[in-house]
Amino acid sequence: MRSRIYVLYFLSLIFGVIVLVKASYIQLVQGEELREKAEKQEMRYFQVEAVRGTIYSADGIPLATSVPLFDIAMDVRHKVVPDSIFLSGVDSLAYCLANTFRDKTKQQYKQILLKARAKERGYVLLQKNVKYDVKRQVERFPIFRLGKNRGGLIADKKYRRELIYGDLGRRTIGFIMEDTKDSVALGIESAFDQDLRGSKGLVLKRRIAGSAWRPVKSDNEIEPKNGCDVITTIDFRMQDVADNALRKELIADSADYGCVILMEVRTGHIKAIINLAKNKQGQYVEGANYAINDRAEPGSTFKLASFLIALEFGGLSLHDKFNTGNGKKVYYRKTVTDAHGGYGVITAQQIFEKSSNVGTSEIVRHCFLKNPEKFTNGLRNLFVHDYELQIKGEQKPFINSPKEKRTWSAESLHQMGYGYETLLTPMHMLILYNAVANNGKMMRPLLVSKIRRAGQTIKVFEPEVINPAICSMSTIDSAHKLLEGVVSNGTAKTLFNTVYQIAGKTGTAKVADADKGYDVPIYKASFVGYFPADNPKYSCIVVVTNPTKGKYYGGAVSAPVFKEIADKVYAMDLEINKRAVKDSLRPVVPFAPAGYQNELTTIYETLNFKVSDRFPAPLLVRSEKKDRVVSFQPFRFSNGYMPDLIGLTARDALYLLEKMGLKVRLSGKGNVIKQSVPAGTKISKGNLVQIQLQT
Amino acid sequence: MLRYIRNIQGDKVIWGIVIILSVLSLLTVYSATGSLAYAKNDGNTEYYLIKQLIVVVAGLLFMYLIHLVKYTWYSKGYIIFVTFLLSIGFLAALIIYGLTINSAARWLPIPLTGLTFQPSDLAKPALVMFLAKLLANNQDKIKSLKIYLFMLIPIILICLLIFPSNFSTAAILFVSCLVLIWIARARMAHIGLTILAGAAFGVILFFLIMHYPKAIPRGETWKHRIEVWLDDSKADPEADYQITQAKIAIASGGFFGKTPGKSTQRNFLPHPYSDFIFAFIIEEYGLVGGGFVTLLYLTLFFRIVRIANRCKGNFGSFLSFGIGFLIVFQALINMGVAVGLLPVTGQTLPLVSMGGTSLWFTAISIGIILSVSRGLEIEAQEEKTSFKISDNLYATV
Repeated sequence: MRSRIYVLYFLSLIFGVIVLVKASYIQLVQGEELREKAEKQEMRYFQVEAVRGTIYSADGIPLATSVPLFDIAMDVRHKVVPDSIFLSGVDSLAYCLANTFRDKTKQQYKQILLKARAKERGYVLLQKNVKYDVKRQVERFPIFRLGKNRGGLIADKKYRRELIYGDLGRRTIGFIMEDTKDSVALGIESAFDQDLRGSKGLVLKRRIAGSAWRPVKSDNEIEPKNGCDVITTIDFRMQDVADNALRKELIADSADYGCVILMEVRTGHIKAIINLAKNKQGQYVEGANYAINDRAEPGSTFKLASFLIALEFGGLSLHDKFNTGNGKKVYYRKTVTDAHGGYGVITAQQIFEKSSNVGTSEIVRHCFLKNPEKFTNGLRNLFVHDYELQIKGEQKPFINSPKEKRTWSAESLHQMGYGYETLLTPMHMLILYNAVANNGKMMRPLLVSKIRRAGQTIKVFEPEVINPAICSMSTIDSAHKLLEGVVSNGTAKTLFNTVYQIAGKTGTAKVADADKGYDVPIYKASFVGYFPADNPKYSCIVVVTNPTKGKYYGGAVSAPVFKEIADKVYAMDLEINKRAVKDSLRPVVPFAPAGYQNELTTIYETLNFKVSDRFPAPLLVRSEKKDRVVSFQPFRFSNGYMPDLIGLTARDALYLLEKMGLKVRLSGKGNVIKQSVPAGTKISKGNLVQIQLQT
Repeated sequence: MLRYIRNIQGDKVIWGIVIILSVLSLLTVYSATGSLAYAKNDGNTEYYLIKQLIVVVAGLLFMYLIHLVKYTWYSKGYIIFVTFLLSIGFLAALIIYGLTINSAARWLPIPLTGLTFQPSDLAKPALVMFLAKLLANNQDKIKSLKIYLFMLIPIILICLLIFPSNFSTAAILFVSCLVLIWIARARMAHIGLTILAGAAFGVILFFLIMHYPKAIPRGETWKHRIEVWLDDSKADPEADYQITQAKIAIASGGFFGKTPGKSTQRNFLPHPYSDFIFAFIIEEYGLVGGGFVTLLYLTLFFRIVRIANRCKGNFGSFLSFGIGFLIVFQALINMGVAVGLLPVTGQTLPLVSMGGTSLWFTAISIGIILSVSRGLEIEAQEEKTSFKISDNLYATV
């Protein structure tokens, strides 16, 4: 035993010596060359882009998202792709490339590859910005299908931001362009960039040749942290409705630009925000964010503010009478005119409904001539707040005041009464009207409601109150009356309908052209209001700037846009429509003879039917109805035989039959009343069954 | 504390070597994981040092506790049988686990702890213990073919179970067991035939790997490694990257090394803290350092051989030698790979490479050897006293 052990020990000793000899050999003989190599090798940390978060609509539709794109290239060096593979596959590879990308012929692609191979290129760019599905195809091409190490395929991934619904709300969703000289950052993309961006990862790469780098197979990697998702308050369908309505009107009027904001009264959630401007080609595209930055004299929509202050602080009552004369009145050097003129002596309510400028001037003079600051301070309290909009670009409101020595004049007081000498954006106007709709509670406008990381909500933006009561409740009640009166008796009679009530105010402001001043008037036609008037759910403003096809009054230009939006939103909103739904359900009981037990139970119980005999498992059942009691029978069928489909919905019938491997052809709508193959017939896969449906 | 230190028994040279290697382990792991720690733990470069410190201290503690047990306890049939069955169970579990995650796994997660361990780490000493028992019990019949073949059964069984996940470990274990049987005076002809059979198996396997790499798990990796090792010119630049980087590390180390903490190759070496740690040691500590480490392992082996030779009971002899040879053999292979003498295998340098459970099993193995050595010391003591007593007896008579 000893001798064997010592033999073994001796062998180990020899091996140890050989190891050291080999190490010395490496140092002494190969050392020079290896140390040179060490000098040359270079390593660097590269950033790995994090996937930017998605911006969603309130109803869960992605509005802006990052899609992966690939730059397809090939490493054609001999040591990567051996001749045996390259020469036999290059023709078919070139053919596939030409066929897929269609920008070069097969011959051209082949030439590119052969030339690059002659020069031992490690990176030949074949196509930029290839989508994921195409990249998957490319991976199956000849040669490439052998993988990265022997097929030479290089597919560098990058991300591009895509607005899934194109131009719709583009300006509010925003975008970031960092690669241009003047970086542009707008909208939600910009404001929530920190959340959306995520954090970049790091990967250690080493230079393999020239400018080609390859990741080192090491654990020294920091995974990128993907960005959070931003959930906006925008309702995709309402956004779509608003866009359509505004676009139609802008085209009809050939207006310069226009905007719409739709807000949920109780929460301040902006459900839709649209800005459209005519471009050089005469098409309407999302331009600047007019809704928040187009600061201008609002015109008659401002009268609501004047009336609120006069009612609250000026002792005005809606029944007070004022003389509007023949519709023209000179104050100091300026003449105030009414559009349709000559109402004589009318009440304050009528002044508002008919939007009399003379009348409003009279009211303001009557209430505040001695103390104009009381009026302007009241207005400032209404409008000047820090709204903290969640996106940048908001213009601050301006309200003239006797304190402003440079802008205040003798005419200022009554001019302000009907909306001049103030500068407000459509958003400011809407916030006020929304507060009136919300019984005096002024809400902060919200564009983003939640931030989510990997499906988990990490931040919620709760509705925020700017001012719990902008004025007394009696003033609010009067304001409601005024705004409802405009639709029932005044300048917006076209909005009157019997299904639900709209309350609002028209406005037609003559504004100074940037170049030509007031001499060449530009009109801003607006309508702002809320609906349904008795229990307001949404407020909305429509402003159209410079309609050029003749009509320019707010009642004629913007009110129809408002109506279209309000009608459609009203129709789609089940919550405000509940009553209508109930009403329509009362006389008709839906015929739901067969289906899934759980679904049928829900339906019948909602309709106050009694459901007897429920089965423990979720089952396909037939229902039988006697008076107001419903009972179920399990649905019986066996494999290989045609089931009795009568009474099933199209969905359930289709599911059943396709699961049995049958081909189905449907006709009509509703529940099954006829089937081409009688129940109980033996069937086999692929048979055709025709089904007739009827409601 | 002092009491415990006084309780340290067994070969003091082995204790010294283990402690030197443990210190070296801390130094190299700290230096080699710099960039790993930077990337993974927000620049907390001490993370792996502290982790390794805990592992090493725990390992030494295990070693201490194990060496206090009388080694004959390890020869008890049920102890041997239970560890052997456990090994088979864990190896089988690993294969099943590998099937569930759809690839050959080396590490088996320990439920609820978040830890993982390699069942082969347990199977190695367990098989050697089993074999030592068989050899000791059958010393008189060792030349018979029947006994020889009987002893091959557990070896082949365990090696086949390890084989799918870790070819090199299976091969090392198989060779170690054959060596142990050879040392136990088995017939050369039998061993020669086994080597022939093993070679035939190897050739068939080689053929399979080279022509049908997909037929066996990890076949493609093996094929690639063999190709790179066989032929430098044919090698894909990516694949021989590891070897080249190891050579660069060795070349740039020089005679005295770059001094600890100054390695630049740690960023290029694929696993500077485990598979290629020997190249890393030469880079930082030079040829002198590499030579010293080699010497430590050879001295360790020498001390183990000494214990085995002195051991009177055959079981202790086979046990200490078998377990010791496994450790030293693995160390030599790790070094051979680092200097490019052998193909890349993924064997760690025992007691030095970063690791948790793997290091503990090595520490436990050495604990067993020390227990045998401690037994020898006690026997020697008893002999001395008994000799004295008889002396006295003689005097009185």
